[in-house]
Amino acid sequence: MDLSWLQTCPAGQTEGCIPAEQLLYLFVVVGIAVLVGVVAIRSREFSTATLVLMSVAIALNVAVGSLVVFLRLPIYLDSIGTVLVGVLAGPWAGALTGLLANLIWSILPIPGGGGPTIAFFAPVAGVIGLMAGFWASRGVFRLRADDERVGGFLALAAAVGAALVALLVVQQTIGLPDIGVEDEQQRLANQTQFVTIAIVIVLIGAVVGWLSGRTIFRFRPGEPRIATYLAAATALSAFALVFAILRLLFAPDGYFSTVDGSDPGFLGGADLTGLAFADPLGLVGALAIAAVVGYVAWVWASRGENARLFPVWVGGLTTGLVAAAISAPISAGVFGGVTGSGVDALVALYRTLGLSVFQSAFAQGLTSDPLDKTISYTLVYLILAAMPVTVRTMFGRGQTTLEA
Amino acid sequence: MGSTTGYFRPGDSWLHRRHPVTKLLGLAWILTATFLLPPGVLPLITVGLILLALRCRLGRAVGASLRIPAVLVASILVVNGLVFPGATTVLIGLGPLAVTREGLEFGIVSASRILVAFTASILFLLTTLPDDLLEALVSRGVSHRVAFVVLSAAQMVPRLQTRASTILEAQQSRGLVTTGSAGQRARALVPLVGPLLLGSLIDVRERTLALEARGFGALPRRTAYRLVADPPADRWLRIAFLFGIVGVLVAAVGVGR
Repeated sequence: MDLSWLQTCPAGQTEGCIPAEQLLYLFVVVGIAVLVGVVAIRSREFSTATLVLMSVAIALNVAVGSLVVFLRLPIYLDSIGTVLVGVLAGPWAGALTGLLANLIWSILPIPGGGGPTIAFFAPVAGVIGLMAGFWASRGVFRLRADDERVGGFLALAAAVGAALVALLVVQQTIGLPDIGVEDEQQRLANQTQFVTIAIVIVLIGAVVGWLSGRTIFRFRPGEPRIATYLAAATALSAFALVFAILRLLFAPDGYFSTVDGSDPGFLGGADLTGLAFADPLGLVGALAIAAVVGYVAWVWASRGENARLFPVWVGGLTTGLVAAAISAPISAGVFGGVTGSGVDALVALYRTLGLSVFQSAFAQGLTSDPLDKTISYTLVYLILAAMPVTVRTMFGRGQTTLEA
Repeated sequence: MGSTTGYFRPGDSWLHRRHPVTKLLGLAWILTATFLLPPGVLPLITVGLILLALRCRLGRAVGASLRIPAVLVASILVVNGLVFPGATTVLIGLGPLAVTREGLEFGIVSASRILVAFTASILFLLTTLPDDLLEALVSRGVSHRVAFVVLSAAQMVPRLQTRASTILEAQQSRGLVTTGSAGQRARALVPLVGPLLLGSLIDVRERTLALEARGFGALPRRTAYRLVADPPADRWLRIAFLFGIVGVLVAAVGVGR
């Protein structure tokens, strides 16, 4: 059997290979099947308390969702119950809650719900519950600013940071290999090189994370260093985020440099290349603004116990990103790239900017999901801090995942 | 038609008399055909569904329910018709926007698929009581714990919504501002969601104690006399072996030719 078609298509080619988007769909379907299988097996071990919590959490999703609609806020908060179960009863209970909550939304005529077709988004809800449980087991919901497990969390952040830095270094020095060239031999060589580079970057991140976890981030409980490190991490992340966004937009080869008026459909042929500031002025400006934001973040994080919200927000942001990534193929493949709610105006905007059906669905998810999940995580964190001890001890993970 | 019975309408039609799992498999078949086969089959499926609805005298109910996906369908048509990436054939120009043929084609196909999927689902839901569906699934091996979660969640939805509006009124009578700027409305979130969340958790504790006092979850779980040790490394080995088997199969298929 000729298996040469078993590779992803380079841009433009459609025969004799698998289009990248179909591969993504296949990956999502297989992932869903594995998730459902594991959840079904694990569900046999759920305690009565977990089952009751799941049913209440599903109803909570609906109730809080309708509260948010009443307050006319631009978020959903319809997975707050799922996050709650993930924190208190573990990732698999959280995943099952998400799946069942979505299925129940589809079979009940809840006003403001989307009808039976939203059952297609069940995997997204399942993954949200899964990730909430994962982050809770990393101690994200428990950390006081002087808890020694901050070290593990900081090591994880350091690992990701190191991997990103390695990626940037590779890009600036030897350059990432182009895996879309026409020549068969060259493409194979490039693909091998790409995979090797990817593995090396992941290894670098893993080694940095492991080493830093053993050395500079190894804390004893109550050390004053911990709060300082956490505040520093918050400031650094704020700095890096603002700097990256500014560079992406305003750099000489950033986004605004491509808007040169040649497309009459976009903003009436506006020429925004003037916003692509030349270096070194642009670089210094971006650094200065990012430094100011970083300093403000440092001041905020150093005050009182504010710094313990940083891990919570990291957890919420990453969950939102993953949720957006999984809902994009579903939206693009089943719903024609829209959601049927107000955010479709965003989808239309992204389409005019030239993004494909899949990319604009993903971009819309990226705009709304991380914020929504971060707020859910923050609410759960704040409210669980006030939970009575009698309730906390009912759940196996209640003591370990929540603030003492 | 309350929240606990779902969309179900009592009746005695052919669909009402079918077993829930039969209907579920039929729905799955229609859904896979709708989304995986070329769009040419959509008119066939639509005609079939309409005939089925009419025969079971559910035509009016189905028609009335079509207002639920109306916004979604409109959005699919408008967004795709007006802004479809890579479209070239313009049908109607509207200033900076234009209705394109490729976009309209894609939009119509997607919208039709959603409508067919919705109609099939709504026919299923109109003729199946959730309790019956879960009973049928449990007798076929689905864990009864899952059935418990689904049914009690469906019952709790209206109860929690009532509690949420009670909390809202109580907080408003104590001076909570729920209108005005976005910041004011956002600050109302914690005083509203907080009592709801905490009250629900206390509720969970009481329900759990009540259920366990009545023997819920007391399965005939046997305690084993012989304990087979399962070192943690074994789990990884098992996963590795499974991958190895798959790898061997793939290699055999590839090399064998």
